[in-house]
Amino acid sequence: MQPIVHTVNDRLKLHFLRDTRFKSEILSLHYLVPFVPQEASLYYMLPHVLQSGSAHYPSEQMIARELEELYGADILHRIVRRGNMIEIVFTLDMLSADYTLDKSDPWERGAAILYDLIYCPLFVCGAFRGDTVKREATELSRNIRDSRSYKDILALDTARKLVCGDTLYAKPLMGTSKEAKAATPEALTRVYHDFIRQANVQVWYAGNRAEQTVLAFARQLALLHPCTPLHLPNAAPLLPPLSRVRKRTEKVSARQSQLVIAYRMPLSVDSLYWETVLLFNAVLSSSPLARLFRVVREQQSLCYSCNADLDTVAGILYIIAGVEPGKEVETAAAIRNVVQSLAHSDVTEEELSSAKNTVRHYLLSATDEQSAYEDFYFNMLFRGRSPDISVILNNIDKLKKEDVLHFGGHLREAAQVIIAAGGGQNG
Amino acid sequence: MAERQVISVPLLHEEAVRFTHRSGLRVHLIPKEFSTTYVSLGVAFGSLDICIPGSPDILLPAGTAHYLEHKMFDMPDGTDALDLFAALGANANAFTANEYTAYVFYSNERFEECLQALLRFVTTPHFSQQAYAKEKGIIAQEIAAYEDDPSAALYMRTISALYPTHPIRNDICGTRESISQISPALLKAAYEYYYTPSNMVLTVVGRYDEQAITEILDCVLPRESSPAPLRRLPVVECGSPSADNLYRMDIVCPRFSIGYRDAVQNQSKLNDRRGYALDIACAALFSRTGDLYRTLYRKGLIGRDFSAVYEWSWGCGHLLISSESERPEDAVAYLRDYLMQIGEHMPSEEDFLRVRNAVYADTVRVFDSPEDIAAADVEQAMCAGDFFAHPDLIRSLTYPYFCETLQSMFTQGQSACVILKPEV
Repeated sequence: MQPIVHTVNDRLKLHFLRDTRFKSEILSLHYLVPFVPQEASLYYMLPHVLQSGSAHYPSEQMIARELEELYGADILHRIVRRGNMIEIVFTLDMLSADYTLDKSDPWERGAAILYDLIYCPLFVCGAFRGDTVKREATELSRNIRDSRSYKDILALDTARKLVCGDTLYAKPLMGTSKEAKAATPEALTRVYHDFIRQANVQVWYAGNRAEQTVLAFARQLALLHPCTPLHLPNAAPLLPPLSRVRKRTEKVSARQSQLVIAYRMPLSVDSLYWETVLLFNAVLSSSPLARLFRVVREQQSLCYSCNADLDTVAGILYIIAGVEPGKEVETAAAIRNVVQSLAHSDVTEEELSSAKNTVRHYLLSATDEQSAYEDFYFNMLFRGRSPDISVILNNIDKLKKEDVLHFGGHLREAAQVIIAAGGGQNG
Repeated sequence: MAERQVISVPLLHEEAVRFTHRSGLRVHLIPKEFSTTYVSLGVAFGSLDICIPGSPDILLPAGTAHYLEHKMFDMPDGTDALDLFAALGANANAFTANEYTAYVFYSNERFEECLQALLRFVTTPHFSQQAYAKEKGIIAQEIAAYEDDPSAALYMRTISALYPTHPIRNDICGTRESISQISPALLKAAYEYYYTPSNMVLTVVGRYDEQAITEILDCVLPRESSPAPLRRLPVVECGSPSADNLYRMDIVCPRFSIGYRDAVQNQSKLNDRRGYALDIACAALFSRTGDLYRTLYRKGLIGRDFSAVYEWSWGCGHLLISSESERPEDAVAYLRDYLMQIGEHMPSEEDFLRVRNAVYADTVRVFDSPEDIAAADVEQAMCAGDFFAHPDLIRSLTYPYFCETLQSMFTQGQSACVILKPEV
């Protein structure tokens, strides 16, 4: 299962996957642009503003109705950090013409709406409308402030800031509430023009449509992006050298405490690095046979959830647990023991085999979901890796327990965050 | 084996094979060309099953079905059933819903060994005192996690306000107090009553060998004299909702939720015609295509998360509307006035047809995911429904029926409102 790749020009590629198993078609536009910390809020707002009205569909209501007419087609967007860049993805998900009740084909109108939203924005005197920008700025500012309401998010965010210090990576993807509020139509319009001018564009299609139809659409887009050399994400280490373990405890009104221990992981361009990370994670946390689940939850009953979250570009491993108040220190010690055991003691053959099965299963399952496979494919692409699953599975098979122990031996604790539940009206 | 039926949806090129095994187990097989085979074993025992019928009835504390689900993974030899699946290269999990408990696995290879493992562990209860006590702390932490989540807290408080006497008001996990009343003996009694093959549905989605499945069932499950219906308790009274409720929590932005109880959907079988008509109503009235959303958003009364959903469960149905809001009281007042005069705001026939097609497409898209197919099939089977019939059912909905349903929802139903505000 491999898409056919067409290089339309230096700035734009089409990845075409013919797959007749699904009843939907997916057309995604992936835009890579440099991450500018002081403009994070503007970039975050941009897709929202674009989706709130365009030249031909001047209101959000009109866009929603047009899409609903096409058997509930949907245009979604997401923003992902890719090293020193960000990726903004717009996805059009629509029912295939084979399954509409009247056999109408949503493609032409759907693709036209997607094109219109991104390339024909609703400008007044050359800029986005003031009221639209103000509304979206208020919404984003509120969302940024409200993220504190979710204690697990608060704990992870605090840990990320501690580990990343003053670097680019410390800056939240959404920016700050203050920056969001300060957004102006002029600033957002400038960012929009920069976005179109600089973006590296990757078009993704999965479905049963003829290749030439999608290629014609990609060629139309390519005309709007002048040719300049590609610039893919920078995989170089982004974080400063580790100095000391940074710790923070914050008391909140809640029933459960949140504990995060963050480790710096080794970064490497080694061809098997990504596979090693996947396998290490499987031994540590991503299956019921994994050590965190078995030891911290099942043997010591210290928490309901204890999971790892990996940032493989920056090289950070976060372990997060929801803990009974008063057991934070005990749980932190148990987690440290588990991580140390993966550096200094042994990994059994049974654990290794189970972890390899987990990774194998994860990779094969990704091919059964349209969005999961697209995510996997672009994760590989932006890592400069082949997205061929059989190659990755072969590489996983080659890894030995010494590789897992070697990787574990290079983890360095960087931060500990405790969001401690302590009284209050919800405590 | 009871008669083998082949169900098909020609419009979607989909089919399923259904039969009842001699043990009483209902089996649904849905062939799909995916690399993963997804299996779900549903047991008709959920959070709404609050007693074991008998003389006298044995009352079950809130959270019993969920507690039992956690303990089913303990094997008599001290191992965990999840280990078996991990060793076979499969992922396994379980969850408890209001109407049922589901045990699932998905595998890319060694499917038959995995199926055998699933059936063996669900038919091998083991309730040791030590393991039972250990689990209590873990479940208490699961409960605490939901209590700290503002969205989950808003939802549960709205349901509790809507249903003062119906067991749906209890969290599926129960409370710290209720789980302290659950004993190994009670779990054993619940298991013996509810965990019989004739009270279960097995759904397999993906690639499989039907003959091999039948042989595994013959080998693992006992022969039962005759198939029996799923064990269901009588429908319970809902009580009178408490209209306005204010809570405080450590949150930044206030949020509100209004629930309307469906006076018609109070039977033990889902009226899925009505259910889909109200799904269409949610999209037509409250989504971004409608005037209501635009008006509320422009007035600054709602956030982008504004949403409405119709839900049905055993003997009850409700429509929930929720959002973040800096002025939740104003938003609630506006919505209540608007919905009280629903006759004046009825979506047009054109709107109805447009949304009906979109809802139809949503049910078609379920067939794109093995996980979603299995989940929908088991959920429907547990509620005496059939999700293979849904695309045709949605197509057959008419505008007059839609208007009549919508009118009855907001004029006959009782409502409750919950506002969550930051602590002072």
